[in-house]
Order: sequence, then structure tokens, then C-alpha cells
Amino acid sequence: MDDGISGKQHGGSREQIVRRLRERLSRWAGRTRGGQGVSTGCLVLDRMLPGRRLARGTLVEWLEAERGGGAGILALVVAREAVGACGRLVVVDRPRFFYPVAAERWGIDMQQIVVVRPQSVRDEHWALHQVLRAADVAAVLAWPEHLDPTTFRRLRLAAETGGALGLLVRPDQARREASWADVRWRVQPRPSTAGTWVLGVELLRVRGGPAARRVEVRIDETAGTLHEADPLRMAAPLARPTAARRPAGA
Amino acid sequence: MDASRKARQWGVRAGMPVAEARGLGRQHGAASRSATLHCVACDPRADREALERLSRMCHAFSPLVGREQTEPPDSLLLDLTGLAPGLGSEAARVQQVHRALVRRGYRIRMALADTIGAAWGVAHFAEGAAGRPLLIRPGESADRLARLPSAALRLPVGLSPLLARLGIERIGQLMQLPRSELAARFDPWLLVRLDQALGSAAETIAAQRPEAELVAERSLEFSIDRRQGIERLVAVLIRQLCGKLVACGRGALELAVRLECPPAAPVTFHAGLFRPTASPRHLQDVIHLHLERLRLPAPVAGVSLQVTASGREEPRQQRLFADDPSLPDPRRFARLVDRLAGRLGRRAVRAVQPTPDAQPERACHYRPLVAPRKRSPAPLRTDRPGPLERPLWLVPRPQPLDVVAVVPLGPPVRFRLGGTLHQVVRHWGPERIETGWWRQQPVRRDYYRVETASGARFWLFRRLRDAKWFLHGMF
Repeated sequence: MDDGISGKQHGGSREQIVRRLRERLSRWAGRTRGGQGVSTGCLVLDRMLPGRRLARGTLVEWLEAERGGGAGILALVVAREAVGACGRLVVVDRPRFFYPVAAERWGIDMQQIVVVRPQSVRDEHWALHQVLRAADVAAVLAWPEHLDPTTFRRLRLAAETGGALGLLVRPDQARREASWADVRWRVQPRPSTAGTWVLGVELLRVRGGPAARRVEVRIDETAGTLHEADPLRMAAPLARPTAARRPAGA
Repeated sequence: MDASRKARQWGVRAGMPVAEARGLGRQHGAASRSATLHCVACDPRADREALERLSRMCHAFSPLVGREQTEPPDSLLLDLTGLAPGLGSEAARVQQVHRALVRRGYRIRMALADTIGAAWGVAHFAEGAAGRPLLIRPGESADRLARLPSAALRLPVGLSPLLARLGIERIGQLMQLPRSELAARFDPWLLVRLDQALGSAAETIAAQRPEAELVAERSLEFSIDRRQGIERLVAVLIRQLCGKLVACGRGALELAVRLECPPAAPVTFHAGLFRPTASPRHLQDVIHLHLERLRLPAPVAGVSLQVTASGREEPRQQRLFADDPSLPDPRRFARLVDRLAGRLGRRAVRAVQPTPDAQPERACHYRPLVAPRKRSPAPLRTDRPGPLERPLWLVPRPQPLDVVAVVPLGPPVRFRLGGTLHQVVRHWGPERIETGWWRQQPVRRDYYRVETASGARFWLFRRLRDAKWFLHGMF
């Protein structure tokens, strides 16, 4: 079978072959999960992912270095990209802190949101399992504090079955726990520059790609978009007021 | 249209213009001081529904109950033919119906006659039909009708005034005219109605079928305590219930389940559904989740399921590939919502709606998704200011904070949260949020978005009443 990846045929270094193999694998994975991947809403974060997309039917973890650190916002932007104009976002909100008005301001219609409020951790895990397994849910947003490996794996399998993108925002302590998420980011806020909020994002783990990379993302408050923090551009934000590009969905 | 006894004493009559009735009300109301006149708009739909309820009740007295088809719907027709041998005389039966309705507070006019037309005419127009039921003996209908005005024939609109102009006021006069003349000069309905009233043309009661009671129950000779056995029994009952639902083209919206556990009190629960459904699998799934959480005090000796709310099941086009997950299917989502609400409770699964309220905690409204009783209003479009102006996490009850501010009414400089001292390096605000004085607890707050030295962002406010600080959100 000519798989088009043999080193002899194409030449190129070992790295190139590995890269080509990865691309092919991720294409296959994407095909089996049905449909296109989901952008993170930020070009620089997309670039860190194999295939430049988050695959549907997987879990993405956002570790928050500290409270009020903006990890939820990054997850919400991904949710916006995942639900599009008519998908459904289910928020499993055990702490009862989720504020739908913020989600609306980030571009998700309230009509698309269903809020589930379990009372106990057990119910939270059960609800997560149910909504991830459902076929009519585009994205699931949740704040599970502790996930034992069995539950985590079960959630992953549920997401694979249903095809929803599971976005889990978790405290930094979860870093020590084993993860079944395809992608794990850690978000650390940085002091803002010229009034623009900057978040340091570290890719701790990604399936099918190299991890341990860091970038800085700035939040464009007026357009509700994310961009790579570029020191030069940020030095004079007023000089280029139209620099912020609005994505198609916003 | 009608008026209460007091209003009738004041001279208000059915069919009177509202302005005139109000005039009378003002005149008498000023004199009596204790009473005022209330005018309520006529609601034909509610009338029709009330009449339907009455007709259901009347099934206790006659196997054939129907509603008179002419507008406005104000009459019920009961067939008592042939009931006498088994259920007592017709007169006694009529008295029974009359008593039952009067006991419920209705003022009714009632008559028993050979034909539907005659009974209708006598009940509506004969004097004396108001207080007690009038019984027309067999064969006497024609005599009785002859004395009634022509309107007693249920004539089409405009025909009675025309007859009155021609000097024909009583049905007796009509009966004396040659049939060929009547047929040639008037609406054909005149002869039809006359024949129906006299019994020479057939007329049937359009029967109102009593709605099938959507109940399935079973009592057991020997109690069962094994979950599996109970579930199996419930499954059988659900299949029975679904058969009944399908037969009347409806789907269950709420199920009441009752488990008899003698000697303890029966265990009951209600299971609500997101959409009407008659699918046994779906209902079984929902009931199963309820049963799972249930603690039974004793073995189960009987199970009863009743549909307490139902809706029309939406017709659905069958798909070639029924379970293709790539195609959207509202039923699949309904199943998910029901499953979640079944275990977590109806109030735990909610939809969100924006509301026009300045107070942040009231800026959206949560509505349970399961068994919504009323239609939600059209979505409100809010303008979308900067996304970072509102936090993603809103503390449901603002948390009191120790805050240091340099100037008395100035921005915060540092605050303590969870044992950590946060230094504020940047702030945005104040954004003043006030609610109206008409609120029971009006709110006046100055909100600040603050950034700490580490870069984290919080949403704080100062209560203007006592200058106390609170944490209200995190970004």
C-alpha cells in the first residue's frame, strides 16, 4: 500500500515524516468523529494544536493558576466557536456561579444555553456524562474540581460517543492529577499592558503533538476577540484602532 | 352574557350595551357605597371549555352527551332515551341532573321533550324553565311549541326578525302555513328546523366522547420488594399507558406515579417531561431515574401511573436512518433534558432569558425547561457592550470584603479575599447601578472592575447606603 509517507519516496528528515504521519492521523481522527474541528478563537493557540483545530468529541482542560485568572473566558470563547449560530451549550454549574450575561456578551445567544445545576459532586459527574454523550449538544462547559481517573476516562468516552466538545475549567491543583483530556492548557494572568488584559497560556499536554509551549494572549475588549500579545503592537494600541479583526461568528 | 343578582336588581340586563350598564353601575354604586359594578369581557373560548367540562360531568347521567353546535355555545344535549327501565324514571333522572348542576352553582334552564329541537326551544323560551326543569310529555311537543316565539326554532340569524315583520311571531302560525309557501319564500333552514322540532326530520346529538382516562394500574396479590420486579411491572404499565396515549394522539407531559406500600403510606412522585411523548422507552427512562432515588418503606403491593398533563404529540416524519446522530433531532434533546431533570430535579435544568434589569443578579431569568406551563415571551435583544464589563462568575450573594480605599468614596487600593491580600494595580469604574425606589429592596451600588498585582481581575462594588464593599464576580 502506498501510504505516501515513506522516507525513501519523499525524502525529508525524520521530523518531517513524523509531522506528516501526525497530520494524517489527526485527519483520520477528525473524520471518524464527524465534521470539522473547532477553532480556539485565537490564531496563536490554534497554531499550537495538531491540525490547528480542537477535535469535536474530545475534552479540553483549562487549569486556572488563580481565581479571576481568565481561564473561563478562554473556555467560553472556544464554546462560542463550537456552538456557532444554532448549536447548544450546556453549562454544568455545580458552584452556581456561572453568569449567562457574560456569555451573551462574549457572543453566545442565551437561547442556546442550558444551565444544569447538580447538587452534589456525584450528580455533577453523572450530568457531565449524560450531556457529553448526547448527540445534540455542541459544547459542554463545566468546573469539576476533582476527577478521578475512572470518571475522567468515562467522560472522555462519553464525549467520543456524543461528539460534544467538553470544556473543563479546573483549579491549578488538578495539574497533579492524571488527565484524559486531549488538550490541557494552564492559564496564568499577567499584569495588563496599556489597559489590555494579557493571559499567559501554557500548553501542558496535547494528543498527537508536542506540548510544553507558552504564548501570551491579549483580549480585545471591544471586539471580544483574542490575539497574540505582540509587544510592539501593544505599545501603541491607539495608533492602530482597526487592528482587531472580528471573527465571522462574533 | 349575564349579570349577577345584584346587578339585575340595579337594572343591568344581558344584551345591554356596556356603557349603559356602567352608567347604571355608577348611579347605583354611588348610592350604595358598598358595591361597584364590574364588567368582564366575554371569552367564548373559556365558555366553550367550561361547557366541555360540564359535558364531561354529565356523562354520569347519560351515555350520550353532546354540545349544541350553534353559536354561541350555551347548550348541552343529553339523551335519556331507553334509560328508564334500569335507572329510574326520566323525570327523576332530569331532577337529578338539575340538582347536580345547581349544587355546583350554575343557573340553568332545562327541559325534556321528544325531540332535540323541542327541548331546546322550551328550555330557552318557555316561561318557568328557569327555576325547575320542564318535562314535556310524549306527544305534547307540538302543542307546547306552537305557543313559543319563532326564535325557539334555532333559526339562522336574521330569519326571526323577518318573520316578525311579516306578522309571524309564534311557531303555531308557522305550522299553519302551507309547506310549499315556506319552502319557496324563506331560507330552507326554516323547514328543516321546524321538521326537526316536530320530529318529522331526524336530528342526532354530536356526541362528545369522554376523554379516555390515561391511567394504568395494577394491584398485586403478593407484594414485591425487588427493584427489578418493580421496574418490570412499571414497564408493563408504561406500555399500556403508551397504547392509550397513541390511541388518542397525545403525549404525556407529566406522570403521577403511586406505589402502594402497606402498611406504610403510599409513595407518590410526579415526573415532568420536556416535550409530550408517547414513547415507552423514553417514559421508562424517566421513571427509572426517579425510582432509583426512591426509598421504599415496605414492599410494593400495587402500582398506578396516571398522566396528569398531556399535550398533542407533534407529528414526525420517519427517517430512513433513524438514529443518525449527525442529524438534529428535537426528541433526542428532549430525552436528554428529561433524563437530567429526572435525577437532578426539575429546577436543576434551566433555560436562560435576558431581562431588562439593571441589577446584575436579575439581568437574566432562569426558567425550568421541563413541563413549561406557559409560553415564554419573545427573546429580548440587549445591546452588547464590552465583553469584559461583566464577570463570567457571579457570586450569587455578594460577599463582604475588607477593602482599603485612599479617598472615602474613591476606588479600592487593596482588599483581602480568602486570607490573601490583593493589591489593586488598576481599576475601571465606577459604574453606578441603581434600581427604582419602588423595589422592595432598592439597590445603589458603585461597581469597580479591578486588576490585582498578579493580573487577576475581580468585580467589586461599594454599597452606597453604608459604603461597605462586596465581591460580586470574578473574570
